[in-house]
Amino acid sequence: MSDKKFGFSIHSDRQHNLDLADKRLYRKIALMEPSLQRCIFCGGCASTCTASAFTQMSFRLISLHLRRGNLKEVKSYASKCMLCGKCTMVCPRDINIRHVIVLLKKEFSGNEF
Amino acid sequence: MSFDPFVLPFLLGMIYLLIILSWRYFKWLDELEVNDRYKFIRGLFSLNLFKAIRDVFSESLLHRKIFRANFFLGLMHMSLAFFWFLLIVVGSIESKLYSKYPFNAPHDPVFFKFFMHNFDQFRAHKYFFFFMDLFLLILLIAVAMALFKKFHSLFFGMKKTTRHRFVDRLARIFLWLIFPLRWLAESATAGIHNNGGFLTQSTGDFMASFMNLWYFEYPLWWLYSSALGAFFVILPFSRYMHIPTEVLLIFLRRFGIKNKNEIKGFANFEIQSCSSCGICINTCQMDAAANMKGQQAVYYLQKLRFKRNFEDPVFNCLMCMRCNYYCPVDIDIAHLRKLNRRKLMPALDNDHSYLDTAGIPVPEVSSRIIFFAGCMTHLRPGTIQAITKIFDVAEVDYWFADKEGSICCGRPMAMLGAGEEAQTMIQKNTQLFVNSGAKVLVTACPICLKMFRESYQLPMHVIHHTEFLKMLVAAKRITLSKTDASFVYHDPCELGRGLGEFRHVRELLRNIGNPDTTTYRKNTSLCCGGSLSNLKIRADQRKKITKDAFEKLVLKNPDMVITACPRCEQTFATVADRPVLDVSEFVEMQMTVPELTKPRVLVEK
Repeated sequence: MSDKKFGFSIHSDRQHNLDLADKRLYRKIALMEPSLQRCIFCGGCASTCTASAFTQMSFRLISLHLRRGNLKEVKSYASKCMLCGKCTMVCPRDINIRHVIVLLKKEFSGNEF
Repeated sequence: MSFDPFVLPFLLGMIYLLIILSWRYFKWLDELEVNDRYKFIRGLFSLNLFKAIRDVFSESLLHRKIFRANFFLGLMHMSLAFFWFLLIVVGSIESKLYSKYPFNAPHDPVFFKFFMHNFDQFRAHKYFFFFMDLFLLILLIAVAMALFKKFHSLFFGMKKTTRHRFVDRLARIFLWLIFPLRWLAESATAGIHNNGGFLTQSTGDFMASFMNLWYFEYPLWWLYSSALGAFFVILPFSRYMHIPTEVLLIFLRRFGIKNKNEIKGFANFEIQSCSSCGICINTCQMDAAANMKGQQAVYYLQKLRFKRNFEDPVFNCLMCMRCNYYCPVDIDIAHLRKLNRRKLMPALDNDHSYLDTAGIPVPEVSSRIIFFAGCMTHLRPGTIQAITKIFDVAEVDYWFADKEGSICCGRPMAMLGAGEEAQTMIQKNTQLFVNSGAKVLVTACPICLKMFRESYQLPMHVIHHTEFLKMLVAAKRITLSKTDASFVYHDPCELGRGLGEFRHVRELLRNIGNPDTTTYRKNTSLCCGGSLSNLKIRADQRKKITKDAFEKLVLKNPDMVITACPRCEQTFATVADRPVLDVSEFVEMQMTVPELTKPRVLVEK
């Protein structure tokens, strides 16, 4: 793939090596709020997210990036949350989303990632 | 002044107690803000002093609030407190009259019968003997009731009682020993010297019939004195600290001193006024319905006082304020939890700059009234439809400010202790409201309402939609017809206990019908369980609370449940077996829509 001169290859931004994903934060949060593991990525939270009207933000994105170990994205999205609670109300898997986001915010408060 | 070595345990214990109390109280009073200290001194020379004394009588002695929770519970606590007080006061008078001297040593009235045997010169002695013995008898009955409560607490209205700390149980043993020991000691002396009243003399005579009282009399007084001394020594480290502290708390409150933003000073008076009575355990729905332990108010206050880990009770609480309401000492427990939320929550790194770049919607034409639905109401489109329809029929000049979606009012974040971090949201919403030029802000959600009233500075009236609908009906802008259906009204926590608004809805609903009576109304209303203030509770635990609250609400089998909060409506709807409606939906159902006789003009020129 590296000495291809012509043709299409997958852009590096769209490559996720899940074996190399740093899941330490995910596991740490999952210990404190186990319901996080139930996420099926249905997108209910994303459709109701208050912040999504103004910027790209949803818990679904956080859940995804958390499992992929993309901590910079997790921090960026988590900081946008207004903690209004609508996502937690509509989640069909009864995930305590607000608690997860508060735990993430606490993790990131003052830490550089 | 009489003396014998056996009075030493009592005397030394009392001096020790006074030193510790003075030290603590002076420290806390010193921690008060300058203004509050000034209020305290001014209060001592004001009429509020007498009001405070009256409060001490009705609450600390007569325990009127506990009678409200349960008659026998109140009777038990009152008997112990009030009659011990009378024993001390009347005993003191007795001692002074007998010695014909206005001053005596502190132990003279306590051990009066041991030292004073000859009452020929004391004409009123028969009355004193009678009343002192009567008080003692009532106290003994009170101790018996307390012992009975250990085995049959339900008789006193307490399904669950406090699991006391070891020190508290030890202190209780000392307390319970005091009055039986006094009885035995005075009876022994009465058997020998004939100076007893109806109770002590008869007991003394009975004791004399089978034992050598000369042998037992002195040790019994030693035991009595030791029980008193032990109780005094352990008091400052036990729940009985509430006895003197509650009195001071009442004085501080009457002098206008209030809760502030730190756990020191006044807050200490509150925390150590908790008697661990356990009434809050029975009123906490997390315990009663979901069997959750450790977060009830009494345990939270214990953890706070004795510096144990209080992270869980702080964040794992619905903040429904039922414990606040039922507390016989009126401790503002919700406030103490909130203060620790701020303490335990680190400064969160929010990035709400996207709100700064977002445009502020402005109405096409300026209206006098803004309608703000709020996050939770947006999850109840039925409520929004009902309100807008009512406003249209009533030809209300309003602007639906967050029709396309709201910026959260910030209260959910503030309730978790991160109020400062919600500043951007507060600023943007304030701009939204102020820029519109409106004079009245009507909101459908009591959570937003409380936030706007208490944490925003808005130059306009802020009212709940139920109050506004009531005004519309009163001004005959809409007419309502009565309904045949039965319904029950649920007071939301934030609107009811949180803001004290019970009247408007009831006046509004009176036009439609009479709600079923329920035990759980106004201040005693149950929490739906959906509170956003609880960060940690699991969904299955919440469901138990919601189901339990709903079942209690529909005991009289109404056709529907009406509430004034979108969060309550949504929470109940997940477990309901009958329609759950917002007040506005109910009003819209019963509203008569007039024929359109003229084209509708929404803006009056």
